[in-house]
Amino acid sequence: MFNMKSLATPVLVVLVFAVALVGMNVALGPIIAENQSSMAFGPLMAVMPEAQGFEAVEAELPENILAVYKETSGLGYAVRCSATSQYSAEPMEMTFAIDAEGKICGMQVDVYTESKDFGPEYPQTFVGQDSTLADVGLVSGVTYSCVAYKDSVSAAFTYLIENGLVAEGVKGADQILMEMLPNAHSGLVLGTVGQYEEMEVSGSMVSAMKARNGSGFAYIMTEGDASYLVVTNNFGAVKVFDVEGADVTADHAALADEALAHASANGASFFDAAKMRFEAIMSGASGLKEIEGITSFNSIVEAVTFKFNGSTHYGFYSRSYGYANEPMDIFIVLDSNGAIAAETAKELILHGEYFNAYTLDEPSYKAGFKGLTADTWSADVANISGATMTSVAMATATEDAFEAFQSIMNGGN
Amino acid sequence: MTDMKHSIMKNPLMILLLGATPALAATTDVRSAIGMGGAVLVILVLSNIITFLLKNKIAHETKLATNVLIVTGVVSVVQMLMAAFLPSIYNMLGLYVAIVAVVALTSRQTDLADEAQSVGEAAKYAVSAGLTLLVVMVIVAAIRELLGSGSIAGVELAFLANYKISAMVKAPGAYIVLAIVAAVMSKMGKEKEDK
Repeated sequence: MFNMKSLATPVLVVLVFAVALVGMNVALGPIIAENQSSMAFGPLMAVMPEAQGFEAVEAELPENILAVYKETSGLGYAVRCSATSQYSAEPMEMTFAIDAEGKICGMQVDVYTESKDFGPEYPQTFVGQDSTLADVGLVSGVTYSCVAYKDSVSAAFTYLIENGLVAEGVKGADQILMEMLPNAHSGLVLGTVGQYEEMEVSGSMVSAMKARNGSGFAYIMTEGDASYLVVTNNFGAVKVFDVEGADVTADHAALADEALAHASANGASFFDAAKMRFEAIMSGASGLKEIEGITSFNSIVEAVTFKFNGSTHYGFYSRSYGYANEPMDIFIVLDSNGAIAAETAKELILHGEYFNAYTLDEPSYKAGFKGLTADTWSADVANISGATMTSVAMATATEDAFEAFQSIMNGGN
Repeated sequence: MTDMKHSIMKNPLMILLLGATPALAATTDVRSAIGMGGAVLVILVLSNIITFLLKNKIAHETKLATNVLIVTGVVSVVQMLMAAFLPSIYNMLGLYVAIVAVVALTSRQTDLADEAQSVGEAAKYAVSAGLTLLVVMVIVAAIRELLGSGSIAGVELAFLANYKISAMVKAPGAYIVLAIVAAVMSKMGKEKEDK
């Protein structure tokens, strides 16, 4: 039978522990509170050592921003945010501080589990930058992680600027012009990441960039006090853009000529390779000749025309970027109506030996392109399960061929 | 049952699912494994000593409740001490420190303390079980940290930088390593029993 006496010991245990815990709380409470404060603000103090204290900014934050803290004496803000690239085992996390002038004054990486390391120097290139992040580049071989990291910091700046917390930086002309590059000449970029080699400059050039796939050149050039983006393709076409994004080629013929001369001296010819490949693909083709004057600026490095079964056909050689950002060699033949007669690649899956996840029946894959025109085409046709980069390269090449074909039709070539 | 055999065969990490919780939570890093294992060791020793000292005062029908109160009380005290004096370890373990109570209870050490003939013997049972747990956790953590983070006790090993297996720092990695270590420990326990 239950005995009230039996409760004595458990009650005593509760009382003893209660008294002990109350006593400890009185003695240790301040120490624990101080520890918690320094734990919470430790990473913030690391990026803004002179801070007096921080208070969290209570607001609905964008997905990539983990927290925003205001430095209590008005030195600026500290931000914790995350970034994810296609090589993230889990999101990168970083903490950075922005001073009262809107410039990053401290940056540290808190979590980094990317498959490749961009090293300790890269995050420090953000220090001293304003919201334009003008002088932050990319680390070769770790571009996707760098782009994701930079985009996250940029998105955090956008949030802070939109909410009036920090001042917006002013972009320089060169930065504005470089941001136009993906639209001006897609052959020099993959997504938003530049795919070019810097070259020695001369004359009006501030910078000269040669596309890694040989599809042309881009230049930042100056005339008077103004800067311009000048792009050339492999067909002798050139365009000059001002900082407003307007095509001002007609007004700056000297810049255009200078760029074309440089491109001509440093460019490569793909005619022999294209001729050999198209004659093999379209057995019986005759009268094959090179096309000049195409005014599209993309991954197409060579274009030819020939007769096949009595009708005119057009061959386009694209070097869009595939696996590991390497240019693929893709050949597309369009008939006189702009429909695909054949599409193939020298090596459809780059580094095929490293792939084991893709599934592809090559003959039926290639046959899937036949007969499609710019109007009936869909990028889904180019999709290869397990080979995303190759799929993107094939889709890009096809769209670029359609664009080049349209240019021929418009120009009467 | 000998001390060693009890430590191995009745170890919560080896035989009880609940015991896997701290193994999952605190074995991504050797430092947190040492912190968690150390906390368990201290809690087991203190709980056993208090239980032994009170064993003649505890009525049979309130034994379990009293044991739970003792263990949770000791856990609360240790938790507060860690928060004050080992804040980095405490922060690393987070709310899992409280789970130490589960580990201590599932290990049934207080039952042994009840059976002990002296304070020393009660403490010895606790030290034996606690040390085994500590060693197992450190082994699991070392394997997971090396393979998953390319580091040991937070020190980056450059030659492992490009060979990290991210699954190792997640739950599947914990289960795989724990299963392997448990199998080895179980085999060792059986061999000892056979002898």
